Amino acid sequence: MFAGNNRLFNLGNFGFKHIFLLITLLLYFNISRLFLDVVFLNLIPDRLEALKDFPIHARADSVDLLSNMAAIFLCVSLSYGYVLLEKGNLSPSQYNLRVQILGLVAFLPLILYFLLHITWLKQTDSSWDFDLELLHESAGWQVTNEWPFETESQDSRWKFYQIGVFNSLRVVFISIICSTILGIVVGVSRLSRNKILSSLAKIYVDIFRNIPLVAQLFFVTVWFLTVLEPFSELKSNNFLEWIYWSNRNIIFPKIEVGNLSYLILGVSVFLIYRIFTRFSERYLPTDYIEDKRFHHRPFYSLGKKWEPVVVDFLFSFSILLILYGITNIVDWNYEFSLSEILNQAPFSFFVLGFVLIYLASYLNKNLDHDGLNNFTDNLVESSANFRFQIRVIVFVVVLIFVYSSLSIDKPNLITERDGEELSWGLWKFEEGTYSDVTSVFLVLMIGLTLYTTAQISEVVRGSIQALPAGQIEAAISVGLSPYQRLKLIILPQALRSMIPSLTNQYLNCWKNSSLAILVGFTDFYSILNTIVNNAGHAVAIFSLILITYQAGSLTISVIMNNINNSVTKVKI
Amino acid sequence: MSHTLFSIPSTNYKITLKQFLDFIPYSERFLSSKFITEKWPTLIEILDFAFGRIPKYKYSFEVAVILSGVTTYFAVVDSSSLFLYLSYIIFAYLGSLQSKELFDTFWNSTITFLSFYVMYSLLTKAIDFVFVESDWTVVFKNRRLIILGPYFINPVTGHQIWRFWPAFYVFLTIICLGYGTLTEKKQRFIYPYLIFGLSLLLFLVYEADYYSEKNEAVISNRGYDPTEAVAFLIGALILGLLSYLGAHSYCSKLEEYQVNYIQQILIYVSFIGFLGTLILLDPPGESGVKPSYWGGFVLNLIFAFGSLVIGFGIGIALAFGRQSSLPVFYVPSIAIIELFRSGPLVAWLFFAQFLVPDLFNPIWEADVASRIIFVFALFFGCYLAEILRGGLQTVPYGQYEAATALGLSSTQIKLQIQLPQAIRTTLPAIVSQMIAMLKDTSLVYFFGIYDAFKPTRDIPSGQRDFLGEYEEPLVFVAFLFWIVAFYLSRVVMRIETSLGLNNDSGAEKT
Repeated sequence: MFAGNNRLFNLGNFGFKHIFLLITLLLYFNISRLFLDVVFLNLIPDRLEALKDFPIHARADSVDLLSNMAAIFLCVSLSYGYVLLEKGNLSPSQYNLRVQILGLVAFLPLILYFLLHITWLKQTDSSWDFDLELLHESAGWQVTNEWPFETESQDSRWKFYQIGVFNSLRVVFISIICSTILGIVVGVSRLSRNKILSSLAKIYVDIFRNIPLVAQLFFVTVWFLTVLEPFSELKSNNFLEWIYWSNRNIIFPKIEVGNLSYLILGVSVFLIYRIFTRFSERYLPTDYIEDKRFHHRPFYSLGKKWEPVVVDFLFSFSILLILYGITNIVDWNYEFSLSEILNQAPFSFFVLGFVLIYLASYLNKNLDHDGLNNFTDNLVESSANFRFQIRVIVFVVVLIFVYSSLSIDKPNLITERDGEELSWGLWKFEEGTYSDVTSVFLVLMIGLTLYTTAQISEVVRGSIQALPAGQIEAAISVGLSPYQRLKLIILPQALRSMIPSLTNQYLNCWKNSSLAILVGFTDFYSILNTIVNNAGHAVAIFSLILITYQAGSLTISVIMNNINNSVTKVKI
Repeated sequence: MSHTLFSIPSTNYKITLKQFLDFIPYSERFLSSKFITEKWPTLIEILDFAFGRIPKYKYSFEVAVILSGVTTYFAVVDSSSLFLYLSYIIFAYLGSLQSKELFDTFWNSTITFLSFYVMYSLLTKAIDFVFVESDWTVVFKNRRLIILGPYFINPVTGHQIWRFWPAFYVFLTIICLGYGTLTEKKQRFIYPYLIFGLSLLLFLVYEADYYSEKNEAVISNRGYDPTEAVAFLIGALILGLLSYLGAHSYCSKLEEYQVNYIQQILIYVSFIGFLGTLILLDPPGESGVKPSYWGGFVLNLIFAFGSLVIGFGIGIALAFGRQSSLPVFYVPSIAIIELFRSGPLVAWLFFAQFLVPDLFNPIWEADVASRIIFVFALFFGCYLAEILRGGLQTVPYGQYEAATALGLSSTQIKLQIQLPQAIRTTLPAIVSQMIAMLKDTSLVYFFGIYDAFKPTRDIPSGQRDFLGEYEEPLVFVAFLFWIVAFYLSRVVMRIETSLGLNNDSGAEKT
């Protein structure tokens, strides 16, 4: 009666697989009944406002029965569908369609549950209100790390969020740079022939890779608490009253650009020196490409001697414009309003500078490509001496200009008021005379750096070990010293291959910065956490958290992918 | 000997040392001496002169390392100058064993001295911290609190601790059987195993009633009776040893595929054993211990293993979903994977804390611990899915075609052909992800759960005898995590070598 290929009903073949299927079905029945219960509960009239006009409703006393029936119906239809699939006799497109329908039907209770339950939650629970209006209300609390913003407790929560994002970016940026440098150093030293150095690096990596970041942050915190003395001992912990340190923060003198014209003068002297040395004391190229296309080389008519000079002037000029723009933009107080920005002259200079620098580097690239920038140094001794003298003079002049442009304030510790000695709780530094680095920032930065360094050093080691041995053998046979081998052969190739895994570590570092909440640093996660505790709206805030992290991750990925593309353009 | 450390290059400078010394009166006698006219000895020659005649044995390097550690220990602890100089001599001897690598060029010697300085100061600091400065009584008295949490050491509820013993027996036996199936030399397992057992025994054997100076009374360690625990432990250790020996002698007769089959069964048994442990800890009904009462390092291990077991299922499903060509499967898989990978784990713990109760309340009234395991599992599953996807892409398409030609169903092809090969190539990455997961379990501290890091903050602020002793408990807990993670990372290395994935073709010493 039942043909041999209908295996589900052939009791002779009843085995482990069918027991497994039956257990799965039983589990599915129970779970889907739970979900369907809630689905039919939400279909009771007058429960969901969104479903007022929906034609299908459930009676309150029949919810249990309905869910049971629906679950049984689902189970039967799913098993029937499964049997039909197992029978075969289907073309691939038919098979695919049926599998998809089966999958949809199987997940139907879950989908319906989430749809109706979230509607219900939005109707009843304020934390599921999906609007971010609360970010425009005043926050009512203070943060400690607000540089370079200035806030009051009446400021909107949105501003605090911006502070948080800026803080996270700051700490992650610094730790990524530090840990990349340290990671390369540690990774290379782990492969050193010097046993002491390599075992030192190995101990470092083994310890810091295998201890949770939480523990490391605790350690750094405790270390800071024990090494740095409390704020009350501030008077004895300073360096000539220029730098103060306590376990609250470290105080540096405030260094600002006081006189912009001197700074621009100094920088322009340097830039002119650069152009001068690049073009005056060198031989001209002998083989180069002629290219008259205007969009490619607009200054072609100037001749091969002056064309690079003009491009370099353009480059230097745009740097000066950007410098002028940046130093004036600092006064804006980071309020982003487009009309205000566009009205300001510095911003137009800034944008102009960016456009020009892009243009200049494009032209420079073309010149490089055509071989016009390939100058050779004039190695005559008198010429070298002349260059050296010029270099010393320019260095001194630039130093003098830059120094006179800066205004450096000595931090002024106020411990007295009206001739009376204040208790240490009331001590403070005079406004505008100091810049400080808080210890929580340092703790997070050091913790992240130590952890990421260990990870990155493993990446570096792996990519060095993956190099073909022939490369190094060839380098040895050419007669390069160990340092030259490292600098010219090993690192350039290893750095190429390690960029994808390096990207991963940078993303981890960015996500790990959320542990700031542990050390009391106000990154955006901890600020949003506080906002949820104060004002609710957990879902909207949670989405904001995810979106911000995703945006940061995407930015890092895009930058690193660009670097990767530019580095791997040349195939080995 | 062109590159020597202390030789004076006489031709490179216009004024040689000899000419310079001519200006100094009464220098003829000095100049005529051997000291100036001949080349100065290099560091390698000095070391060779000092230690070259000592015969070298197979283990002389290791013995010297141990001796240097011991002498440095006495130099620091007793601050005795005799041992200090002795340790210097032994370090110099160690240098002489490696002198060709350490002192061949000037810069290399500089690096050697610098890194030796760093290493020596770290060593002395570590010895000073461990043996002199720290008072480990705070860890010793609270060791059960750190491992188990407050519920299981409470005199009233402490009897519930029997619920851990079956799990301990099962997992110790599984691990020993697993080592037995490797059929390596027996001493490679037995000596570490004995050290492990002995340290556990020392850990459990003391009652730790202690005299508190601040309370002026003997404080009992909450009615802890070590005899029972020690008896159970010795039983477990003996069972483990016997199972190791049995598995060793049995598996050495078998073919490789049979051993693989046994190992596979062991993995399944450990999964089932874990679920059994959870059910034994908190059986349906009132009798068990609710997850919110679990605590300590054991809780971290349960979280890690739970997220591993549940996350493996999720990860495999998501990986195949993402591989699929059918939109009903790949769209939700990609959505879930990318959603969970977009945020840090802390954000997802936030999700577990605030949003999961709302989402699942009508069908699943979960406490914090279960919710966190759920989120950990999802998080681990999504990362695992990405790892497995990489592995699945490396499985050649011919495998799929061959399996189809053999008439296997698509489920069979996925689970029996593609998945084992994908897991084989990605096993190191999976274990690394497990290590990361174990380390990440320390984040649950944020959510008021009594994990291993909670007592490190509670003891120094809460217990009168140990006020302000932050460092020692922290070091101890970090050490616990370190041991497990380090052990697992060694396992990764072993897997890499045994699978032949370790490719050190270009491992050139720079």
